[in-house]
Amino acid sequence: MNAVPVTILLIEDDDGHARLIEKNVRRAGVTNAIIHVSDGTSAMAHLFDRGETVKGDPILVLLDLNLPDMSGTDILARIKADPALKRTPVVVLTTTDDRQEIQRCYDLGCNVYITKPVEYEAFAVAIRQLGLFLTVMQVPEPA
Amino acid sequence: MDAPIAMPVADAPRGASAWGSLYGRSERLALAAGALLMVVIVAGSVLLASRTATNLRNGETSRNIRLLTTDLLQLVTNAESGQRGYLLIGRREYLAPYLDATRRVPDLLARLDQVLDRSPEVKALQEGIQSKMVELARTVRLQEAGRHDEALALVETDLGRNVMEKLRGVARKLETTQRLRISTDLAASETGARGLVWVDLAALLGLLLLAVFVGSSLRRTLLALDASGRSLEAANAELRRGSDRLEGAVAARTLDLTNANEEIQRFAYIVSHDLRAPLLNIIGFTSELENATERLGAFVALNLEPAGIEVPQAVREASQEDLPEAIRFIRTSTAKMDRLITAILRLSREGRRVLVPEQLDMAQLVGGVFDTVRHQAHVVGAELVSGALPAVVSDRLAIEQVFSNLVENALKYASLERPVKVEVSGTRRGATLTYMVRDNGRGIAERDLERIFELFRRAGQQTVPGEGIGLAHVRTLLRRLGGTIECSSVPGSGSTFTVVLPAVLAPDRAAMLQRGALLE
Repeated sequence: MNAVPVTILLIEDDDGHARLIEKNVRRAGVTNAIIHVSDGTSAMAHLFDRGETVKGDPILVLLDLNLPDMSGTDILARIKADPALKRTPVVVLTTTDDRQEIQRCYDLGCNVYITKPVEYEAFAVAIRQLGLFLTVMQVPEPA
Repeated sequence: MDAPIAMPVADAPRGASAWGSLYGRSERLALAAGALLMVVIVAGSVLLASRTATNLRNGETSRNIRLLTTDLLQLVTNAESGQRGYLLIGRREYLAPYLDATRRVPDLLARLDQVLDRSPEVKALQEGIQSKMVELARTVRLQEAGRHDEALALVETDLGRNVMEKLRGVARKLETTQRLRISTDLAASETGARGLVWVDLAALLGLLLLAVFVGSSLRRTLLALDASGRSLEAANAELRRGSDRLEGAVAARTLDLTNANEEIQRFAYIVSHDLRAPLLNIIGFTSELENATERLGAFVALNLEPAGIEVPQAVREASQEDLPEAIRFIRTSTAKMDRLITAILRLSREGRRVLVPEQLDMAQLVGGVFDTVRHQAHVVGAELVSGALPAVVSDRLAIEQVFSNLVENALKYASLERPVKVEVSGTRRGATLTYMVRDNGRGIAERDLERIFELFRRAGQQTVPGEGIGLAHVRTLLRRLGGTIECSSVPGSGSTFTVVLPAVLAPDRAAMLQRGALLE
C-alpha cells in the first residue's frame, strides 16, 4: 500500500461480521489501521469531521449497505459528491445481490461491489481475497 | 360480490317476438273490415259502370225507336201524299214519294224489329204501318189498272185516314213512352251513381278510420316493442355493470392475494436474510473457535506433554474431546440451519422472479435436463427415455427447474433391485398439456403422496441427503405457471409424477395488476 499509511474505515452494523471481516483481512496480510463504526451517523462524523483520523490521511471505506440509521447508498453518494473525498475508494460489502442495487451503487461511483457469500467458508475466502487485493491497491492522496 | 346482480325481466308485449303476432285481435278484425270495405267500393264501382252501360244501351234503344218511328211516320205520310197526288192527277210522277217509301219502309221495319223492344206500342206501330202500306198499295194497284173510281171509293171509306190517325196516335204514345223511359233511366242511374258515391265516400271514411285505428295500434305495438327493446338494453347494461363489478371484485381480490403473497415472500426474504446475519457469526466464530481449539490441543499434545508438564485430565479432555465434540454439533446444526434458510431464501426469490413466457421445444428441453444428469445416470446405470413431448409456451427457467427436479428425484430414489428407467412423455388436449415423469423406483406410500410436496418434509427411507425442498419448490413453481402436479405411485414398483400446464402461459397477470395498482 501507499507510503502514507491508509486508514480503513469499516462501516458495518453487525459487530460479529465486523470482527470476522477484520480477522480475515488481517490474515491476508493487511496491517493498516482499521476503524470500525456500526452506524451511519458515526461514519459521517469520521468522514466529514475527521475527528479521530489525521486530516489529509488517505482513507479506504468498506461499506455495508444495511445500516440501522441510514442507507449505505446515502453515505456512498455523500462521499462521491464531496470534493475532498470523491477519489476515496469505496468497497461496498453487503448481503444484497439485487441487480438494481448493484447498478445504483456503481452509478453513484462505488469502486468495488462485493456480495457477502452466504456460506461462511466462501465468506472467509472472499474477505481474505479482498484483503490480498487491498495490500496491492493504490489509494489516492486526498485533495 | 356484495351486491347481487339485478336481472330485470323485460316486460315485452305478449308474443312480440314474431311478426305474425305483431297484430292483436282487434287489429286483425280492423284489417278484415278494411278489406271488406275495399270489396264494397270495387263492387259498387263495377255495378255503377254496368248500370250506366245498361242505361246507355236503353237510351240508345229509345233513341233508335224514336228515330225509326219518326222516319217511318214521315215515309208513310210521304207515301200517302204520293198516292193522293197519283189518284187526283193520274200521273205516275206523283207516285215517286210512294215508291221511295215502299222501298225504304221494309228496311226500317226490319231495323225496328232488331231493336228487340217488344213493347205493345212498337207492335202496334209495325202493324199500323204494314196495314197502311197495304191500303196504299191496293189503291195504287187499282189506279194502275184503270179502276180509278174503285180506288177513290177505297179512299173514301176513310180506311186509310183511320189507319193513319191510329198510326199517329201510336207514334205519339211511343214518343211519350220512350221519352219517359229515358228520363227514368237517367234519373235511376243518377240516383244509383249518387248513392254509390255516398257508399264509396262512407267506405273511404271507414277505411280512413280503420287506417287510423290500425296505425295507432301499430304505433302502440311498436312503442311497446321499442320500450321492451329499451328495457332489454337497460337489462343488458345492468348485466354489463354487474359483470364489471364482478370483474372489479375479482381484480380487487386478485390484487389482495397478490399483495398478501408478496408480503409473505417479503417476510420470507427478510426472515431468511436477517436470520442469516447472526448465523454467519455463529458459523464464523465456530470456525474461529475450532481453529483456536486445534491450536490449543496441538499445544497441549506437542508442547506441554513432551516437555513433561503435567496436564490435568479435565484440561486434556476439554481440549481434545469436549471442545471438538461441541464444535462438531454446532457445525452440523448450523449447516442444516444454513441450508434451510438458503432454501427459504431461494423460494422467496423464485416467487419474486418475473416469469417470461416463451415457446419451449419440450423435447429439446428434456434432452437438456437429461444431459445434466447424464453422469449420475451413468453411475447407477439408468436408462433415460423421452416419448412424445408437445411444445409449451411458458417460462424456460421454471420449466427446466421442474423437470430437472423430477428427473433427479427419479434417479435419487431408484430401486436397487432392477435396472433404472426414467421416462418423460406428454400429451396435449385442447389448451391443456399433461406431462408425465415415470420411474420404476422404490415408490411412495399412499399416505405420503401429499406430504412429499410440503416444505422440509420427506418420505420413505432417508438414504439420500436432502432437506425436503425440491418438490415443494416444484409445486410452488407450477402454481405460478398456472399448473398443477400430482403423484401416483405403487410402493416397490415406481412412481408417476403428472404435471398439468396451460399450453400458453399468460403474461404475468399478478405482476401487471401490481404495477397497475402502484400506478394508481
